[in-house]
Amino acid sequence: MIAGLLILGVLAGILGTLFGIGGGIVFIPILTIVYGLTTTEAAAVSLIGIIATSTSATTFYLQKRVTNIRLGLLLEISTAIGAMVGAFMSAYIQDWALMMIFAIVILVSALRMTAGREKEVSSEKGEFTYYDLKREENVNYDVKNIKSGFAACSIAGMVSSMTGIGGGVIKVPIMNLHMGVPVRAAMATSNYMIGITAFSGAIIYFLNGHVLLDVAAFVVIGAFLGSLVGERVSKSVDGSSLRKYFSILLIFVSIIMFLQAGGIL
Amino acid sequence: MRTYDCTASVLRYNMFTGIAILFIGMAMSILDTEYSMDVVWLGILVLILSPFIGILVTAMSLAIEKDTKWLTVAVILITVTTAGMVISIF
Repeated sequence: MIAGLLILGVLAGILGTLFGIGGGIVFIPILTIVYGLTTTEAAAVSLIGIIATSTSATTFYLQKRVTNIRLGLLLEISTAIGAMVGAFMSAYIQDWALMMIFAIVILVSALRMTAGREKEVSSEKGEFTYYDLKREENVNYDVKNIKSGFAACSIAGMVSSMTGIGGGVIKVPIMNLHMGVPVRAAMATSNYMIGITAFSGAIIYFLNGHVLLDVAAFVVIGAFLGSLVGERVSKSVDGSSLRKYFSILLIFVSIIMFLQAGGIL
Repeated sequence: MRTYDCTASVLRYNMFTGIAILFIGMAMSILDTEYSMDVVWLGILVLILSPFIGILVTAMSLAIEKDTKWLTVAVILITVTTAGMVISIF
């Protein structure tokens, strides 16, 4: 059991650090199906694992100047508000319908990311700068569609809180496809944001005593180790490849959500 | 760039402190010591608080840099996050 939890944490930590996703999509099915945890217990442990991955990855990406901390702060406001609205709305909307819509949105995002090419442009101008780990140079970029991106993140927060899955799988495409943020910076910024989102939920579960401390402890250590591996791997992958692998991950996530919507998972 | 360095440092120290406390708690658990789970509880609490402490430090750094535009954004986020927690608790 201990080895399995550590491996689970490592896997989520690698995926989380590389792609800016929380890891809930990995944690929740395995904790409920393999370890027999209730949905509440699994969600509580999952959120703590996400915080471990996010904190470790964010430390690395902040030091390397990849994360756009200002954009992350801004978009997290609408995400948090959306999450609160979603928590209230969840009582009025059928889960399966929401899952189906969400799965379609993710699938379309995946196809768009596969079809489009990552812009690897370093211009003189640009309001923001990030350090490209693969190319080992600073890249300037501008963020477009801030207002609509802000609004889209509120929908992302809403859908995430209603389905329990979301976070990075929505935020990264919003930032990359819609707002023009380079994929690596979008993933690092998403990593920063999901830690804050997870904190809001985790602290409630924790104070209410829903956290299985021993399970969470091993998942945290695994996630921490996994994020260290993810940091090393991220240095050797360029933006275009990262985008391609992320698209594959999105397709996988959308399949899981279609199965959940159909009651198969 | 102070904001990036300060936030990264605080997150790193918080993370390592949390993990270190977790290890101590788990070692105590293996040795069947009393209060071992209380130590694990404390380690996880330290870890959970990391992102929120990160925003607080970011806000303080932005205040020192006199970056009022983004300081306002950080303060709004702190308010929204705190409000969300309070609503969830009650």
